[in-house]
Amino acid sequence: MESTRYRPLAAVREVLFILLALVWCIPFYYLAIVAVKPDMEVFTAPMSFPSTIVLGNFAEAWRGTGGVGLGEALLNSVIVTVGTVSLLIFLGSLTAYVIARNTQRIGGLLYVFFVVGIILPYQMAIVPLFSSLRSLGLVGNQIGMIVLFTGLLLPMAVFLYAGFMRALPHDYEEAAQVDGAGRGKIFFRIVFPLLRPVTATVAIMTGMIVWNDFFLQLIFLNGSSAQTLPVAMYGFVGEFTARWNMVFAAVCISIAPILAFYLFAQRRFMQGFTGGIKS
Amino acid sequence: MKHQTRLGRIASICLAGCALSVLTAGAALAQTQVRLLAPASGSGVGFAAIAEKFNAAQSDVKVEIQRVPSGESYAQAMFTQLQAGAGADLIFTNAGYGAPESMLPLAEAGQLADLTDRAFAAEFPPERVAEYWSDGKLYGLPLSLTNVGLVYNVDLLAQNGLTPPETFEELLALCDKAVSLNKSAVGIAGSSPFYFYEAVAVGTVFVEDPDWSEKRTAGETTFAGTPGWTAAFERVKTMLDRQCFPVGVQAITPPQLFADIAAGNVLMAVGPTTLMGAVVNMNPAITLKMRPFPNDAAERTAAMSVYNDALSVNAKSANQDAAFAFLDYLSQPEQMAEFVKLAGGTAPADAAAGAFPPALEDMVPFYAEGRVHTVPHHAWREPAVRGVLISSGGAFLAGSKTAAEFVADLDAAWK
Amino acid sequence: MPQRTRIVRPVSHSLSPPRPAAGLAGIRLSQRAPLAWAIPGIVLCLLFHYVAVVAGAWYAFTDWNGLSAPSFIGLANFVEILGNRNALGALVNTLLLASVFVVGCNVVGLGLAIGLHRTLRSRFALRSLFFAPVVMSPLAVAYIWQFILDARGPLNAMLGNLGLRSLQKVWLGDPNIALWSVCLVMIWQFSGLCMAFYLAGLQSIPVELDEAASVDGATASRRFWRITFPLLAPAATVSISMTTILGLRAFDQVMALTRGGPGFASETLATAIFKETFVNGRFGYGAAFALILTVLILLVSAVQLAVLRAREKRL
Repeated sequence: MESTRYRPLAAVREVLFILLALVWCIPFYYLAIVAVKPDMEVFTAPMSFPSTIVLGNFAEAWRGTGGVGLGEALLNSVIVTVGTVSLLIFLGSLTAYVIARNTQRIGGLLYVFFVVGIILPYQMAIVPLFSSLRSLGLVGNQIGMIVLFTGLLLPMAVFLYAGFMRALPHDYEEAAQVDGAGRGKIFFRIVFPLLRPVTATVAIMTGMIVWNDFFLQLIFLNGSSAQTLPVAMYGFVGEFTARWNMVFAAVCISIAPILAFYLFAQRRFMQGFTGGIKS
Repeated sequence: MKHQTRLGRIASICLAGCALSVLTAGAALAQTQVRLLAPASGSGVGFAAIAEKFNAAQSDVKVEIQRVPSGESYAQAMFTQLQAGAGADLIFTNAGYGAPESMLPLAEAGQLADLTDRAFAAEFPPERVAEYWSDGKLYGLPLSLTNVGLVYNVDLLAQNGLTPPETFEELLALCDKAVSLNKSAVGIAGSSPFYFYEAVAVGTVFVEDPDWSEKRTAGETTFAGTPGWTAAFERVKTMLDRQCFPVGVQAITPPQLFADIAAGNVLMAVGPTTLMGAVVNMNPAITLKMRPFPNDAAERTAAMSVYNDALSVNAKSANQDAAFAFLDYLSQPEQMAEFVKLAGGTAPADAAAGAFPPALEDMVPFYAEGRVHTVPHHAWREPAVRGVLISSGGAFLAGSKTAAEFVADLDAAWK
Repeated sequence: MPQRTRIVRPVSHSLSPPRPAAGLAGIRLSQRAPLAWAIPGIVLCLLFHYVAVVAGAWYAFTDWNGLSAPSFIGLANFVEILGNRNALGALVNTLLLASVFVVGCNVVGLGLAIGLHRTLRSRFALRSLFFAPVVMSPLAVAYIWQFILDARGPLNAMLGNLGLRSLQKVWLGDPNIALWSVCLVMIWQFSGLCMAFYLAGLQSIPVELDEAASVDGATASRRFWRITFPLLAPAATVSISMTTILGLRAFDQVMALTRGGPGFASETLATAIFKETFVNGRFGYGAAFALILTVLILLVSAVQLAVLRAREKRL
């Protein structure tokens, strides 16, 4: 194809972009070198390359603080994230399907109802939510976290799904209907598989928010042993912690899974992330 | 109808989820669980160690520590839990008023249990810890005495033939000296400089008028109407002009300050005793000592300290007796001594006996002569005033506020 | 399949209500997805957002200190905010920060997307690199940048080594610069997100269109402005809306980098709300602030959407 031919100009462009990418990565460079620095060097020579590379920092960070190891916290984070994302995919796609396929005014109203839900400041809702979830026994365990995040992130999931479904052609559904398929079958067998790109979008956006959230998990886990990664990690960044090497090692551990997931599935990820636009 | 059965299935899944979680939460426990909310600072480490001992020593009560980042995050966690009726059984608090986690506003709102009947109450009468008493009742166990003053790097000063300053003029001379050594004389946590301003103001305001805060509360005086406050800010201005602080001091956070001290970038620093422990943890080879922040004359210099860190009991706790049991255990001298070893500060018993560690030996004469003032903001009922010491204080360090604007802001926040 | 429509037409995607197919097919569609299926989602959204927020918003009209029983004081909190110089400063900062952030993020993101759309051999690796900051927690991002932007940190050291001493700044402590340092960090973090939106938009433009124009002898820049740019309108709508909400809500980065300081130089509405509430213990006042921020975001979003949608149609 004409537009994709590699010409000398493209080589120049390639070099320029690689240089820009290197500049972009400077923060990652510091993240990496500080994470492997010996204790003293962090403040005697903060920006130089470490004199010796101390991989033991990762081991120490992994053991964690306050009796909570990062390994255990990682598992809890995985449970909460996977649980929330699964529920959001199920409820979000179903709700958005109704909105997208509704011809009456109510469809448009419901859409606005969910979009405003994204903008409302959930911070103001924390105390009422905390007390009601507590009376249901949903504070201090993973199930409660999953319910909470699902409720809070549902509007975003519905928004992304609905936008995508609007652009989804109806042909397949109509064909299936002609074939006599039931409503449930049409949705789960025909429509849902077509939603794969936006399902990836929803999974990545909401999964990232849940994985990185610190405060809600701190409050709603309420000191129980079900601590998640950001909560456990904060043990290193308390008031009297200036052990940047430990902090950065913990940061590396916390971003490693999500970055690895991202790097692995890059193509799918990138397409999935914006699956809402692309159809 | 098909879709109705599906809906029914959804509903039953939801119900099953709820039931499951209720079961997990309700799984009856043989021993009483008690939760202690503490900041993830030295205090949190101290509580964790004592709780471990306590849990091993008996089997009726199990204390669990919930550690939260100190500062606003701690206040946010504490308030959210209390407001939702799920406060921890034991709550780390600060003395008096003036900060979000202060004990007396909590007590006056009915959130804290009365501790007047505990055995340790006799040790802490209102004459000793006025900041712990309201309406004739005691609301917290004082954990340690926090001194706030000028911390100096003993070896760094000695190597350069310098001695710690006894007057403000000597301090300024050290600033010039430090610049010539390519270092800075005084490090402060400029992003949160309230302790620093209070340490300066002890000399300019409170040495003159120890009851200034009470008079301010009574409306008999103001910040703007007290020359001492303007004088304090002018001293800070002089320090800025003489390059006493590191570059960009207004943006320096406490962890950065610790690193500066540990690395020997600064000769001295202003901060609480807990700061010294943190630095020594980072660099065990360093020797730090504290003395009061110098005033215009040595004989007019005074120390500043308060039993800042405290442990209180939630008035609405369902496990109050178990919480009291832990508090009683913690109040024993042996435990108190172990706690301060980890958390920093001086155990109340040692402070009463005048037995200070070598790092605080310069403070002893001040205690012997009674030249000690409390940390002012603990008597200020409106937390916003301390907030102004932080916000306008930062702007003042950055040169974007004048002393006159600063005092006006403080009065405006008082209400 | 989705791929099929890609060739037929770029499909717009925006915040406005989806328009279902009309006519006969439409009626059948309604039957296909009964309203009852949406009930669990509606109930959840109603409870977690509307009911809970209204319950919390009531405090905006009280003098609640977070502990004692609140008493109703009407609009006093709002009156106080309007008369408070620092509050207005936070509003101005928020708008400035959000505008520069939205423009910067979208310009950088669009540039990256165009550069990395086709041709380059390393494009997949480079896209990953530029996108990586998006998935990092704001906490981690802020800690790294605090270290880099420290007055004696790597950035100033680098400037010194390059002989650019005059450019050395107290990045986080200078009242004239602090807000823009925060903005820079946010652009660094979220440009990859904009890039991803625009890349998807570019990928939805049929190759044939570009080729046809190229055969007709149109120059590259003419092709871009006449063909590519207009067809990116739907992607721009999503990208701009998303970054606007992120910008107006800026909190984590500000709090971790400057705490709103020095003074109030980099205070935003979100940090002001947090400080009034949890530093000053003024829960009612903080709630009033939060309501104002919400109304602001609703207004800006509504106006922006109207403009962007109109532009989409015009192009």
